[in-house]
Amino acid sequence: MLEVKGLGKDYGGFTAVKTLDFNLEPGEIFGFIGSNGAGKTTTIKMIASLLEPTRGTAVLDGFDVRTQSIEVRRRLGYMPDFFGLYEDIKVWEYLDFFASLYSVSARERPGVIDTVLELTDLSVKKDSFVSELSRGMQQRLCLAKCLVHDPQLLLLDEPASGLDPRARSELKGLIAELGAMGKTVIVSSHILPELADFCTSVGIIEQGELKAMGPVAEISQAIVEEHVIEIRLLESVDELAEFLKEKPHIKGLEKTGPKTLQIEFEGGEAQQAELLKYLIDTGYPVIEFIERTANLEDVFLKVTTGAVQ
Amino acid sequence: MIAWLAEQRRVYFSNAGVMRDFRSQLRGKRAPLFWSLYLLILTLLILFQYSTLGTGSSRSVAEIQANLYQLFTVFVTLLEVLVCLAAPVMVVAQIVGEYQRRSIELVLSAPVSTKHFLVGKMISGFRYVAILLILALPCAAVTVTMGGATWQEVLEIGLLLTLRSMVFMAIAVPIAVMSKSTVKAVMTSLGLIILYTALSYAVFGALVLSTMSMFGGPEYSPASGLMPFQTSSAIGGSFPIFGFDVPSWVWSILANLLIVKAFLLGGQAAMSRVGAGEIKMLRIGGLLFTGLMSWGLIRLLVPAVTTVTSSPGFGGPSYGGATAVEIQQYVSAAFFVALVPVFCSISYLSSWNMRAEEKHYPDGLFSMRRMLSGHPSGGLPYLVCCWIAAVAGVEFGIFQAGALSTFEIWIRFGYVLGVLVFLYSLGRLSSALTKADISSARKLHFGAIMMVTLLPLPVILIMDASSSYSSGQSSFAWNIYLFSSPFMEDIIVALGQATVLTVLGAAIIYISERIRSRKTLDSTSPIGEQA
Repeated sequence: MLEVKGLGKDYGGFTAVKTLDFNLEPGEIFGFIGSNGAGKTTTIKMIASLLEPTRGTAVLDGFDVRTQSIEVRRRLGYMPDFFGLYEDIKVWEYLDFFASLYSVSARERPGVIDTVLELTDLSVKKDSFVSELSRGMQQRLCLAKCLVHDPQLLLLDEPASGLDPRARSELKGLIAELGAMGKTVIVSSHILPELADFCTSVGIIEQGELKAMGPVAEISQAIVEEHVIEIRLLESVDELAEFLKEKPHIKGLEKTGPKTLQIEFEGGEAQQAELLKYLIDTGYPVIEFIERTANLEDVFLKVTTGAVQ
Repeated sequence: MIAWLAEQRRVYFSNAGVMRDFRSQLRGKRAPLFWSLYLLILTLLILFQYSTLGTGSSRSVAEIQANLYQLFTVFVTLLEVLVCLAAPVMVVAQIVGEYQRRSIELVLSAPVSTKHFLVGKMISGFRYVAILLILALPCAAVTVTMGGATWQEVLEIGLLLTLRSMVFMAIAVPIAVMSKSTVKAVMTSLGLIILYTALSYAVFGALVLSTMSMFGGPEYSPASGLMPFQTSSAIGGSFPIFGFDVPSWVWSILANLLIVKAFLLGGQAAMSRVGAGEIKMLRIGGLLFTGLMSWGLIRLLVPAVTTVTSSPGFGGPSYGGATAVEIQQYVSAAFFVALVPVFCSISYLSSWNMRAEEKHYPDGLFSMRRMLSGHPSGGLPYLVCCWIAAVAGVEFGIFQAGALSTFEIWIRFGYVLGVLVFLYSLGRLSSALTKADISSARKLHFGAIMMVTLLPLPVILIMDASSSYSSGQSSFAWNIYLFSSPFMEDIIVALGQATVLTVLGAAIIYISERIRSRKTLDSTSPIGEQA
């Protein structure tokens, strides 16, 4: 549905985005992760046809952003990292304006406005002035504006920035709902744990280069070479530590508490199961045997160097 | 075709931006208060003026009517000044407001063209101007009901002022698109309107004067349609165009619409994505349109002027009153004045300094690709090229209409090429010799221009005075003066001067680029780095 092919952007001698290649399918929620200045917003703007790529292109539903920008714009909803709201008009007028821009017929507009207001939980504010809305509500209004023409692709640039925890949680639910409706969503954010909750895949960008991409679990497995296993016993782990030192696949171990031990394990899942069976058979009172998976933050820190352009 | 019509309908008649702006314009209390005050002032002004007309028993009815008509023309000019001030403010506020609140990105992410956006803003801005004009109607009606002006004149003036306001708004559009500050954009727009007015008076003034009644022609001139604040001279009468008698107000509307279109194209090009295909098309289209428009307008205008009256003027062949030589002198001076903005921009086109060039323009200052791709460094060159296209169109139109000889047209083109290349080369040399900052490079360039233009003057004037005293002729020294080509009568000398200037300029550019590249190499070599 969205094919990004060799997309890149230079500003004079400065390369903001090197060369990006990825594909997204309907219903996919793609988290775009990167530090400030990594090239997230530039990429999103190029896909939104607001910036002309220096090389490569993006194709949405067969329409090229470089040559068929108007057709591409009909099929996407763009929400920037700022609101850009007209504060001197009412909520329904704001949506009516964008519906009109997207050529929604005057007859259909009232119904469409009611639907998106309901979806974003703003129905009660329909006749309020935009200036009277809270920040969270303004954010939702901006998202509602992206939905008036029922787009196939949503580009959300830092949608959760500046929102309180409740508003964030509501926005997260809303984005997940949009994904469930079959829309492709690209969402950039700094708040990594939240992205991991609802994104079906993520892309990590640094210095304009896509460092890793795919479902969070797959990336974690690919990035983290050793498995870290935590073992908790009913008794002291001193003896177990000595016992495991000589065993195969154990690369290193560390006591993290009197009754807990953390081991770096090189084997796969079969070897893990074998080790657990062996411990139990040997008579160690095992309470927990957990493989600690890397979260998105770990992956991000591992993949990126923190360098800025 | 149907899609095109639907798009035009969407842009002009169901523009979403217009409706949005209308909704916010309707709110607030300031506007009705302002309009009431405006109406009150207008009424008081008319009442005061009217009370002075009837006093004095010695005045005849005809005299009072003439005074009323004079009142009408003064009133129209005042109204145009008001429109001139209000129109750019309105459109600039609308456009810069979108950039300041950053809602422009949201609008442009929708499937709308830059034309859709800009036309919407112009219509929104025009709404205020329209109210100004409509509220002035009752006051204008006084001069009709009491005699003096006719309803037809009032309506024609209203229509023409509408178009004038569009021109003023269109001039402000490219400025507003490029500016981040409303105040700066308004001030620049007003400056540009003054420049446009001055240049239109300089270029078309000759044609207007040649046909005005004081020179034996009619009271109205078709050229007035292109000159701001000459609205009352632009209505009434008709002019032959392609054998048809076209009312002058129709001609004025057509001419003003074309000018609006030219500025709108500039605004669209300034607004489009840098590097996009559309910006290239818009810029090439803008250049062609400007050149063709200028040529077309002049091509229509000059024969209209020359056939208005065939009565002989003050001796010799006549162009409706003024002699052909007089018109040529006017046009020559106007041509020189019209090129002043180009000369003024030379430093900004050519002179930076080594460091700025290395940082921002590693592959040179001017390139056609940058100009057409919408790169910021191509903005000024594009404006200058548009200006040159307009001047070239005017000159060529005058030439084709027979008011200029082949000799004169060659003199002009040679002169423009020679002087531009020479002044540009001085800028490149200043840039190559300066490492400190941009202002130092430009000061050096300015100093160099002053040296070649002002320093020779005293010497030439002394030689000219002595030559006139001894032989009664102008000195030959004028032939080597930089800005004398358009006024020369000897084609060999004039073209020779143009050739010398072009060759000299090209040589200086070559030397400057050599200096520049050698300095760049020095700074990148290991020794340079160590230093």
